[in-house]
Amino acid sequence: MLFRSVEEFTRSGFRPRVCIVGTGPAGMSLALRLQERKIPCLLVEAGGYDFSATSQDFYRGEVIGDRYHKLHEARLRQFGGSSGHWTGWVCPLDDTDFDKRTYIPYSGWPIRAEDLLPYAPAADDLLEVKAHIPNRHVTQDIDYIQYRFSPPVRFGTKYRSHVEQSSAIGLLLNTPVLELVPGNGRIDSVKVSQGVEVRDIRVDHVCVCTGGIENSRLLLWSNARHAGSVVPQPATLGRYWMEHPVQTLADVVTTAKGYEKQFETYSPDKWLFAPSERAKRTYSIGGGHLWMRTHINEQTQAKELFHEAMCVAPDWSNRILKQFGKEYRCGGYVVSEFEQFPLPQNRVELDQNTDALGVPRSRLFWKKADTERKTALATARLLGEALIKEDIGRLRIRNYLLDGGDWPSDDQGGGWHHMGGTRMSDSAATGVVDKDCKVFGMSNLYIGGSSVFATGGHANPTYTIVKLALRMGDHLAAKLGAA
Amino acid sequence: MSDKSELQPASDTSLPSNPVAMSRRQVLLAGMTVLSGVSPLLRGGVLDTCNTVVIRDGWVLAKGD
Repeated sequence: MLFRSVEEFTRSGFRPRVCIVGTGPAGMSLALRLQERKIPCLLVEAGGYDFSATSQDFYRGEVIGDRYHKLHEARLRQFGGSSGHWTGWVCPLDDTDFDKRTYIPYSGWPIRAEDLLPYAPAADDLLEVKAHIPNRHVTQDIDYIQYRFSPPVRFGTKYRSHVEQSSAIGLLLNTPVLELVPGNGRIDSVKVSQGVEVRDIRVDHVCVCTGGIENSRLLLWSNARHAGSVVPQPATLGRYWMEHPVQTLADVVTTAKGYEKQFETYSPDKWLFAPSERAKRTYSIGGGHLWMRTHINEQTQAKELFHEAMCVAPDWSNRILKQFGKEYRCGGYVVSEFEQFPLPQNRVELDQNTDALGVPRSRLFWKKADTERKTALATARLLGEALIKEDIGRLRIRNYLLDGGDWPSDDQGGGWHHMGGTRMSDSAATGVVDKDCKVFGMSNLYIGGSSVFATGGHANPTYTIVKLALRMGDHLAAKLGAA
Repeated sequence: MSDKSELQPASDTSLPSNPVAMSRRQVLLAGMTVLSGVSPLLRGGVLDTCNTVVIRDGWVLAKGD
């Protein structure tokens, strides 16, 4: 049910029980679940059906710390949100990602992996993937892992006509929410912009699903506008922001044929490994996945590496010399996307500069810590041992990891995954939302998306975002007395 | 979350030191150990290898290599 204006929505007589701000994977999954549970809801989207330079400009912001992507390129302000440029990687968080891990300060979720498990089939359907494939041990410290791949589902494309024709889901496009307006321990309305006008939309319940940076920005700004009455206990608001750092850790001389024999693969030049649960505990490191990428048909790098290997490993080199160009035909490299420990100093703040609607822009403080270096170094070494065990290659760890040098600036930097800022916890002293994604101290304010992640594991976050949204939908349906 | 001093006010624009950081010396020690091919750090350390594996000039190698 598409409303062309707030006025048209108000006059329509449609009375949603839940106002959902944002139409990305979190907001859309929640809306679809509420529809199933016969709870009418209203989607309020800042952008239109397509993004534009003008809509993206609202996401501009400064990054302080490590080199990172431009914020206005990292998310899409449009119907369907950032699913519009999602690559489709689907993987659940590891069970132990939810645990309190003594070697990771501030770790531990108030829910368990089992709490999300009932939502896996519905999430699989939404994202159009088959059932999860469990990890397989290569060594006791290294697992072979297989991601699943969504087509990928573009929520805006897939559900546009569904939403337009739904009598249970209302939609307002080009309607940025400027601030949340609190009442007595609740949100009374959301203040929105439509063209040159500012309007209020009264809300019963509201769920903010605007993204892993925008959620913090909207709450910080609303709190500033209303003397801290939107997030009454804001100790962690905006903080413990996380990414999945992406760095090249090592080079390899390997045999693609060896891998083809050993493992199924989703791509002819990539294999994925991860430190096992035992390895994470034993070495007090975070999770990570390691992409073994070979330079197929690119023997120059392989030869250079092989020449070096002949100096440091003459016996091995002589043994495989006859196979070189046949079995051992590949040079390659190992890129890792690994877990970042949650730290309070990594955070979203409000900048002094404002966007076109007068709302302060985001300022992101983000820096990798030595704990991430430790994870990277250990996993590279463990993968090297796995290659030896399988006798399918040898690995050289990159110098910057060994000599404590700076992280290379020519790597990707981050996985485009924005997590934390409104973290989930069992206490307002350590988080913004409770186990149901409800803001502490507020009766009707909920947060959706990866900003609620307490820790980020190594898995791409979309799958967990969708499962959390479906679970929140069931919670709201039960609370609102649905059939 | 026992250390409340980590919860800096929003006006703080600095990036304070990491409470769980390895010291610079630890990182350098790890690097030197690898580069010199000397036996690994203490058991359970980042670069601790099993009996049959050595690290030489950054290469992770079997002892017989």
